[in-house]
Amino acid sequence: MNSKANPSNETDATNGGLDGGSHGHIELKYQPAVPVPKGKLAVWLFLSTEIMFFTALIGTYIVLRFGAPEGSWPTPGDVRVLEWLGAVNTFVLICSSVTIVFGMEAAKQNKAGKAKSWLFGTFVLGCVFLGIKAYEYNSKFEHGIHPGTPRSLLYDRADLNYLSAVKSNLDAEILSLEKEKTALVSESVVPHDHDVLDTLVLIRAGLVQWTQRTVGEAENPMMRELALESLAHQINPRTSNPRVEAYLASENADVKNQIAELMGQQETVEQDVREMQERIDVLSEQLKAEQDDARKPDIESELSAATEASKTAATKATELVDLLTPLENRVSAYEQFNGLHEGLNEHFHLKLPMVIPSGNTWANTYFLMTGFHALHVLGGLVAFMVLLMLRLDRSRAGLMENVGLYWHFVDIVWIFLFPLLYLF
Amino acid sequence: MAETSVENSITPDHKGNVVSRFVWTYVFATDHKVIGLQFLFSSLIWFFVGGFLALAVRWQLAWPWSDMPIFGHMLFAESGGQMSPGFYNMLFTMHATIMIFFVIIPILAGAFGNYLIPLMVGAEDMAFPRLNMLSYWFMWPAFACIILSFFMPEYGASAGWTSYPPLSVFQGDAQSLWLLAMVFVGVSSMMGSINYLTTIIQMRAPGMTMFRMPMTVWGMFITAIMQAFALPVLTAALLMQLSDRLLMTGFFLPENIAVNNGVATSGGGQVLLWQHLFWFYSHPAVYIMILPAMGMVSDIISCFSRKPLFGYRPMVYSITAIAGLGFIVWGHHMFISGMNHTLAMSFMVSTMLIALPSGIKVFNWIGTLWGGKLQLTTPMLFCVGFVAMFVIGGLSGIVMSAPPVDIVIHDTYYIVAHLHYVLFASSVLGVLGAIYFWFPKMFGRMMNERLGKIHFFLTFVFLNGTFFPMHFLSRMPRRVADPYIYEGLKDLLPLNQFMTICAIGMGLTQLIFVANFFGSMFFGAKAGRNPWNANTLEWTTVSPPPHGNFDVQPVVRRGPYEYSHPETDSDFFPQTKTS
Amino acid sequence: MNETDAINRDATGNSNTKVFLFVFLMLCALTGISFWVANSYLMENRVVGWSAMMLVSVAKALLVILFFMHLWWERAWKYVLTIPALFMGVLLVLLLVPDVGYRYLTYSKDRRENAPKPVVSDTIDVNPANYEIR
Repeated sequence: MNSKANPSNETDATNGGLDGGSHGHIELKYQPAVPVPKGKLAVWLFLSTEIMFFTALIGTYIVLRFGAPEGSWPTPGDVRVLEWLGAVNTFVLICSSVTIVFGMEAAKQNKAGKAKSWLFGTFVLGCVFLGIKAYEYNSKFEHGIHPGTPRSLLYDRADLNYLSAVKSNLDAEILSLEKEKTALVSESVVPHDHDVLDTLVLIRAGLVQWTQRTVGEAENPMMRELALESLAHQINPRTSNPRVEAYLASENADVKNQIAELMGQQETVEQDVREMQERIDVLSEQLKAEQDDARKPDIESELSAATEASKTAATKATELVDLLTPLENRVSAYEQFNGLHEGLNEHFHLKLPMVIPSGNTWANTYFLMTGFHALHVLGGLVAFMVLLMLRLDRSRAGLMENVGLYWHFVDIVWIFLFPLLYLF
Repeated sequence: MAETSVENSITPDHKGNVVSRFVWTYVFATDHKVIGLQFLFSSLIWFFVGGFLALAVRWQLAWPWSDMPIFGHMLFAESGGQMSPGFYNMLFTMHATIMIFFVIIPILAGAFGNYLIPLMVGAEDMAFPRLNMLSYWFMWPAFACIILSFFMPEYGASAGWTSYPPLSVFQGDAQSLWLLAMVFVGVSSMMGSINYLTTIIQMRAPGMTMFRMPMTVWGMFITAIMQAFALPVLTAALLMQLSDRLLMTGFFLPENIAVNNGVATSGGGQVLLWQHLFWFYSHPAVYIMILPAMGMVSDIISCFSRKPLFGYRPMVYSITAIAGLGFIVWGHHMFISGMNHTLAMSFMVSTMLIALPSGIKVFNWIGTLWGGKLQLTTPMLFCVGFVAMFVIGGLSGIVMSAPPVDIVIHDTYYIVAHLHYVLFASSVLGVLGAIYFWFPKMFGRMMNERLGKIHFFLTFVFLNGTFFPMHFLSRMPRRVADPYIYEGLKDLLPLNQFMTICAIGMGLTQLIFVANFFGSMFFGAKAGRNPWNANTLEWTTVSPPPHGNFDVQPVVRRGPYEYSHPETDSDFFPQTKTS
Repeated sequence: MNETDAINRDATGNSNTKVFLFVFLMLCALTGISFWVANSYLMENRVVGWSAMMLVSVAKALLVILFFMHLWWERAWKYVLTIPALFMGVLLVLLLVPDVGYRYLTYSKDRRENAPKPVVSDTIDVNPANYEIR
């Protein structure tokens, strides 16, 4: 039993390490269970906790991603993800892992200058990684693909919620542009962006109000769905959707037919109006010319009848115009907007609500995982900066190894995030 | 005595005026003993805050909507002292939060873990004293957040300590502060646990093999492992809920949930996900809150039975088994949440399995007591009380591990009875016993035995008066401000009034403890190095231990429980003694 | 840090450089493979593609852990530290999965009305001419 009393491994005894050792009291001996410095052990323990942290994040992703309805997860194209950029970032991190390993080897061999340049290389590669990340984030923010307050621009399905969101968004935008315009006019500056305003007004009249009316009047639920879907498709087309495109084309043809029919009616009515006008003219001439008082009432009654008929025809004409305007708006909206493969948002740099099924969940998980990973990269860079201020000789090899362990862990996390977020 | 530890723990280079000495001793303290005491004092203060909240809850349940003494008129003058239902929600939420995260976990892991681990394994300090200091510092932002949240319009977080979305996501700002506070507590615990693990693995004195470590250290070791693995998951979940609240993400919100102010969230998230992640930490947290107490109780029982601990290795293995199983039972909190039923069955089986190691522990404590020369000192009384109460709490736990039973008693006072038997009647009794036991080591003076025994008996009687009747209230829903609006529950009012009177008695009893604690700190009888004739390493050094802990290199020659050893004349055999 | 003894123990000189370069090339190649898998016929059955990519990731992570993080050269303590962490991580994810399946397969009425609507398959033949227009 007493055989263990005398520690055989006195050389492994370590003192306070980072904390400068004992001061003013006896130095105690220990028997460490594992043959590594305390700092390295603590880093490994810390990495274990980090594994659990990222497991929770990846678990969240798995739950939300694979629990999403079949086929509703966005494709990389939907959410502006460039797979090759992710691959480049993977490559950058792998390179940085190699450089820090070489840096540590150099430090072990007491080549402080070499170690420092390897470490600087790692630092630069880390910065490159963050730069690419920032570019990727920016390209998503530009397109409104991010969580937002009180609600993001991404909608899971084209429903009435979505329609009202588009409408209120559009109204607010138009209002602010109009205000701006009046302000500019009052300052006698020529407003230069009224074409944007015109576009927005046309979108409101030809797309949103039209869809609203179609949805309100359609009796077939499939038609309502198609109308809403076509609105979403025109704002932000995800893939080519032949069903919606066929619907739009056939609807356009139908609208044109209606316009032609209404135009015909309009012509007739205008003809009537003209005839009536002529008749009124003739009658009033007759009334003036007529000397015989006995015939006057007859003419007057004829005149009033003609006036009445003219009025009716005129009302009908305005009614026809009222009927025609939305149809014409619809046609011109179709003609202006339908050829745009990238959709209204992209083409006019608008930020109208978009339909990307599970788009929000995608954005949440994407920014969560890459965000926390980027924060860890940032932490590594701070550690590098501290290290770069020191002389990296043999005595600092342990410190470099600890930072390196952390950096490799960050690399491993990315090794899993890359396929999960870019390729799945 | 406090003065002595102050004197001893300042380093020679920091001798200045009183202020800078105070700052260097207490604010920038890196000595594990000072940090341990910091944790101890802040936890005890919060213990009384949490106790007040509990009494307010009890007041409302006994005399619903009546004017609470003092506070009723201060806070609710316009409604004639009536608290609002929202205020009641805040009371039970903050009571649980404070008791769990600011009292029991910090006092066990933070105070006793810090104070005892280096002393018991024979180290001069923690492996990373400055990390240790940071881990206490990180408690303060948490304290600040919680104190600030009391001044929010809703008087504090009120979504329950489990903070289930979607309710919690649509609460006021106090909930954000609550989440932040929990993140800080988590970071603090994580730094602490890494420190404890490194210290225990790498800084044991020569001869102190793993199986010569006292059970206290084993308890702390296993607890630290649990914290290291479970806490990051909670931290991640807390940050996700925070972003759900502040950045309008939707991790835990179902599709297009509409709330009364008309915000339709951007969804596709899962409410169940929060419950999974939360309980992945918070079930192990239940063991984090009891394993160290079990370890300390084992040491104290063995010491005052003057007998070796019955079955030391089975005790170690059962602690490990409880910890291991503790990670795969979290689903038993979610039986009625709409989770996968097959999964629920597997959680039921693993939950029932925990009864085995727990049973082994209870059996071994009784085996230790059996035939011992019992010394019924105050710490011993508390520890025997712990064992008895843990049996009750444990048995009711087995009852509710079966989903068919749980479906009936979920969210009733039966659950409240169970958790208070485990957390208050077990953990807190263990903590109080440990305070009585190690007080001489911490302050160099004995606590008053007579006051201690009065404290124990009154606490024991009142806690059973408060919590035992709750077992009969399995039809009374918890977290309801006024259950008596239901016709069928009206008859429960007298019982609730009895419980409240007991609870008030229990609260007043703790004043005896406060008096004893501070009185003994200054006027207690001087304690020598080893007042209890105990074996473990901390009793070989002076009380309170100086900076650096040991005046001679401790060399360990035997296990910690060699009481009444046939080879020696005295009835104890310190770990360092040569035979 | 003055704790270099343990570190120098695993330094075996220049031979490591070749190992590190080899690992580096392997990592690049494996990244290429997972990129290729994502755009290949393997993704026709997505489960196959996903599994292949995850296998590649595990291989890459193993390479980094074993060689860059020096675990290949460490003593037995490496198992004590890494295996529990790995086990806990896998356990957490595995125990989350049953609920994923449960949610994937069962829909409440409310959820069916609000859940993200999948992309309409191009193969569904819906002739707009069959519907009344307004």
